[in-house]
Amino acid sequence: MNAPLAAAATLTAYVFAGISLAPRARWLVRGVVACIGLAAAAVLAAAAVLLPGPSSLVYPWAPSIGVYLTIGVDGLSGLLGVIVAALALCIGVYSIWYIGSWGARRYWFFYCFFVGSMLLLTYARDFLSFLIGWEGTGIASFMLIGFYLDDRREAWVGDEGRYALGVPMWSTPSMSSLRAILFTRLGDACFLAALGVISFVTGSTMFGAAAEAAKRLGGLGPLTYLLFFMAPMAKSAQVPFTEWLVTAMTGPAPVSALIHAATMVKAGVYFVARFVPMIHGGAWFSGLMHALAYVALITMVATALMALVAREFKLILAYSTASQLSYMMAAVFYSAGTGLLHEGVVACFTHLMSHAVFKAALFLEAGAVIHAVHTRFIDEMGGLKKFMPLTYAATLLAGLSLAGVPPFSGWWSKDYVIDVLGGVNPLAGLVALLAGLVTAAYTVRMIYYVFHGEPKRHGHEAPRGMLYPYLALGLTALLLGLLWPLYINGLSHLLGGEYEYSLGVVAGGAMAAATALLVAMGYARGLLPGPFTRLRGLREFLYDRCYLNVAVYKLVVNPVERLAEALASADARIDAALHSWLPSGVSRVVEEAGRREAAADRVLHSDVPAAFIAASRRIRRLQSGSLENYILYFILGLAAVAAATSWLVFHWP
Amino acid sequence: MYVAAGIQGLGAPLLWLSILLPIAAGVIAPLLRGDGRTPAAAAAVSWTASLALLLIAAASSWPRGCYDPLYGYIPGVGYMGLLMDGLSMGFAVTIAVVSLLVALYSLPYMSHRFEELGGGSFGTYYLLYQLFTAGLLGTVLSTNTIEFYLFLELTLIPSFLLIVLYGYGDRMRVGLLYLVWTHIGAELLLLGLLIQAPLTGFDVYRPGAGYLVYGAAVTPMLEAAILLILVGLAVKMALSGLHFWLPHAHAEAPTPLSALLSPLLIGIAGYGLLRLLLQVYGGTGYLHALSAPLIAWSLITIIYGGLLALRQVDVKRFLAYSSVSQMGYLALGFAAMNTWGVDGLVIHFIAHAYGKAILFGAAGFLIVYYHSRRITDYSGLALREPLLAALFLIGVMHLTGIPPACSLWSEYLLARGLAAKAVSMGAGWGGLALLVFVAGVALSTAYSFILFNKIFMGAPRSPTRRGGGGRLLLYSLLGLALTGIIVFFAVNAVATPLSIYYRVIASAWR
Repeated sequence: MNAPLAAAATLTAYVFAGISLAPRARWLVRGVVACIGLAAAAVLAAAAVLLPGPSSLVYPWAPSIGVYLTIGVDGLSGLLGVIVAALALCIGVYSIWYIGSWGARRYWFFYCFFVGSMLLLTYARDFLSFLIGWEGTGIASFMLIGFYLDDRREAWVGDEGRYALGVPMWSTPSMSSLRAILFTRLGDACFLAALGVISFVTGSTMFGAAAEAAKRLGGLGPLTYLLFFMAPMAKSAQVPFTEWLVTAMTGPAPVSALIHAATMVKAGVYFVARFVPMIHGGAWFSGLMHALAYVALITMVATALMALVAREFKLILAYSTASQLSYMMAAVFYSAGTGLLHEGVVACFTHLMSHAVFKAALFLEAGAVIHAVHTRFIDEMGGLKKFMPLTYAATLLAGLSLAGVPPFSGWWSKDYVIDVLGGVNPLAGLVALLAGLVTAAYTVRMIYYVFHGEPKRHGHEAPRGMLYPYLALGLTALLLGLLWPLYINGLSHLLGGEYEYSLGVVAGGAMAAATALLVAMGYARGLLPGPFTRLRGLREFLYDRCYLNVAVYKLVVNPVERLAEALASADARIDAALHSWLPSGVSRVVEEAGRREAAADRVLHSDVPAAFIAASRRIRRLQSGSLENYILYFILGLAAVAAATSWLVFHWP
Repeated sequence: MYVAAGIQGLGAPLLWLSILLPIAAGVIAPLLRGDGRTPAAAAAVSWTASLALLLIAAASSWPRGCYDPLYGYIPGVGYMGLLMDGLSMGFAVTIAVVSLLVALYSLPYMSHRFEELGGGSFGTYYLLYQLFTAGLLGTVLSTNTIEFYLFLELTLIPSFLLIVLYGYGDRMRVGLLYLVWTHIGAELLLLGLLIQAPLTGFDVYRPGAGYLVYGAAVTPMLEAAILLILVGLAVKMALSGLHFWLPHAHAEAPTPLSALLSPLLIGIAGYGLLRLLLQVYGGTGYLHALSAPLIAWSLITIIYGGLLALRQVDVKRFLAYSSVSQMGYLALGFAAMNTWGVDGLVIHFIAHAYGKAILFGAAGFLIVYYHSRRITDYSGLALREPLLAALFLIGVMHLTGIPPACSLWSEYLLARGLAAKAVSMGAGWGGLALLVFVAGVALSTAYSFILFNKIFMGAPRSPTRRGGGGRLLLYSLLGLALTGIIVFFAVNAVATPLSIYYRVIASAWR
């Protein structure tokens, strides 16, 4: 294991993201250069696993706030790094022709940035470097899901004009990208709060802190780790976060392939596989793991059933992704705290690997088909195997792997997950097995509708640049399955566990194959979907995604909008009170005071002086200068004094 | 008491020069002949020089910081000097960078505004602009509370005049409203400072002596002083309940001023909380008793501002309410009253400064070239204005903590600071605080990306662009974006001095 090479792989992807921004380059040059970068990253990622060297690398980025960029390679991260880089290259080559010139600069920047971020979170050994990669995948997916900035109709997902309980059930690229960032960022916000607690309690931001904090935390432990695991639940689209993933189909097909196969949703699975084995938190932790396992199981079944009735090619694959991710998650959640934990991690990772390959192939094929026939609805396709035989062959290879048919890689991995689940919890194993049979059914249904039956539209094979990548991936799905016994022990060893062959795997594969065959025959002979068309209510319920979208709107979006409206109204009233009524009230008081002031002013400065002036005038008349008058005043004065004196003398007590 | 900080004096008065040069450029602006380019160039040169001086001073004294050798003693008031320590370093450099780039942005923007108004003087504009921005810088470099107050008031009158002269809508009314509210805030602050002065004096830093830290019992008069300072700064900061002036002022101010008012001026109140309250009273039980209610107030502000932002149709009002919400994060850093909170506050100030200046700048671009502030008038603009869309996205990332924006660090630090309190509060209240924080972060993401989405994504349906060009507007915003990204990578340059500052004052609290 070689951490410097892993760091170089990550850096290469980021550097080529920067190079992709170069102005005035032809689309082909831009794509080829980006793919050269991705190839270099893939080689470096592989070398990081194969070549010896320091297994970790630490750069003290900002030690005072606990930021140490730490890169490390072990079996889990090394293998995931190879898968990410290799698939990104494959999908990248396809993208050159799929994307062409429109938006190529933006596309390649965010594509390489996406890959770099995924590699960073894969190789990170501390939470902050991990967070940088994690958030990087979030913003890149936002821009790539909304790649068709003009909201062109052919990129929409869902039936336009369809409502469920008044909630729109279709989505445009801009709406889908917004949903993706909002759903996943909710999980990220939870993770941020948990990281705050974990890093505070342990004083560290290294991965080991997650294990340490679980032991030290008291009453806040359950909430902290619930928040902690909300991040992967959101990123990996588990109920109720599935909603972002199913509408994320508005992005170009290679973006869907990248998100579903190599990056983004796999980040959540990696998170679970990385951290669950580290944490031993006692009874509350087991309870939490069980609760999350049930959620994964519900997601597994619900999305598989939704895929059974969906009409859109990519939407079926999206449901399928959510369902398959649940297998991976459930394997780890159920086995947490049991003796099968290492097997659970091996099952999770091997299914991640095989799913990455066949799902990338399926999305690329879906892109080629939709591009060729100009519709995304499978019931508007049909008979395409005549026009697109190679694409049909590749779809068959990848599809049978998804269906879990032996000897494809999907069989080995999915049925091992089922086996592990059965070992821990027989009921969970049974549910997973049934969901696996549904998987086989919807896969065959999808392939049948697209490639068999009467042709409804003409199609053509994709250009070689697009065709070869998914052909190669389809063959890889087969080869991975055929060669499974040769490498699985070494691979499991790298993951710190073992892959145990069991009869359950064989039985599961046989049942999946039988189901696939039966369904295929059912369609071929016209027996399907006949009997099920009567279950209209159930079909509508599943078609409307079990009303999850409705629940999100009715329980979250609408109440938040109403709260915002109520607050805005209250704010406006207070604002009016403060800035209109209060000033006008003050102004009225001031005016009244002014009026009273003027009245007082008139009394004091006008009326009173006028009275004095009038009095003065009268008094002045008395002072006439006539001696007779003065003598008279004098005598009257004396008489008044005499009268007053006499009164005082006689009446004094 | 004063605690030794180990801060060295500079050999030359670089800090005073860093304030005086912009003031000088502002004073000569009305005297310069020619069109607006001359005063704009003078402003830009002065801020470039100021930034260079600040960086030289910071680099030469990193990580502890420095004080200016030029200071005066006024009996009864104390030492009037300038200090650039771990706390003020990030604030000062950010103010200089944003002031420089917005000065450049102002030239094309105000040309357009003067045309709208039927005339206007670049000399007057840049005089007021330079006084305002220099006042901002002076505020964060002050060593004395009265000096702090005076610089804060220096920001007030020019900004009031800028609103009244060049603002939008009923600008006289808005200007008065802004003046009255923020002046009341400043007067409450002053009253608090005067009440505490007999016990603490006016110097928060005294050259040679160190930082002011109050270690004795908090008397009822001091309690009143603390509350007055707190409320005064909360008005300046526009925390929920005291925010009613902000949407008017920030929305109706000329856009370059909005780009300064929103991230810088109100954010300085966050600096005030740290310098005037946490540093001085951080060791007292009284201040720590305020922590829990302040956390509640901060979280309410984050949610309240975010929800109100969602209801706005005017892009500048939207951004103004988002500023209210973002101030909640800064207040949370103070309320946590620990090292992570302090780090988080300062780094979030920086992130918000770049992010919000970019977003207001982008709103200004829309006003100049598309003549509409209504969000609903726009859709799918990214295809027509890709660089503007990219810049807007970077601005949004700065508000939401998405790398490479340095708010990634601040959100982590604020979460850690809050967690420290949450753990001590227990599973009930502590858990509730964490959940509300989660809701706040999610809401910030929601309103930020909804705004981006509405304007730049979707079927193209925007007003016709009037006129070409706009490169200077965009390039100045690009400068802000790149600087914000540089801070993400160079966060250690801010964080290390901060941690040293906190260590020094916290040692005195004990």
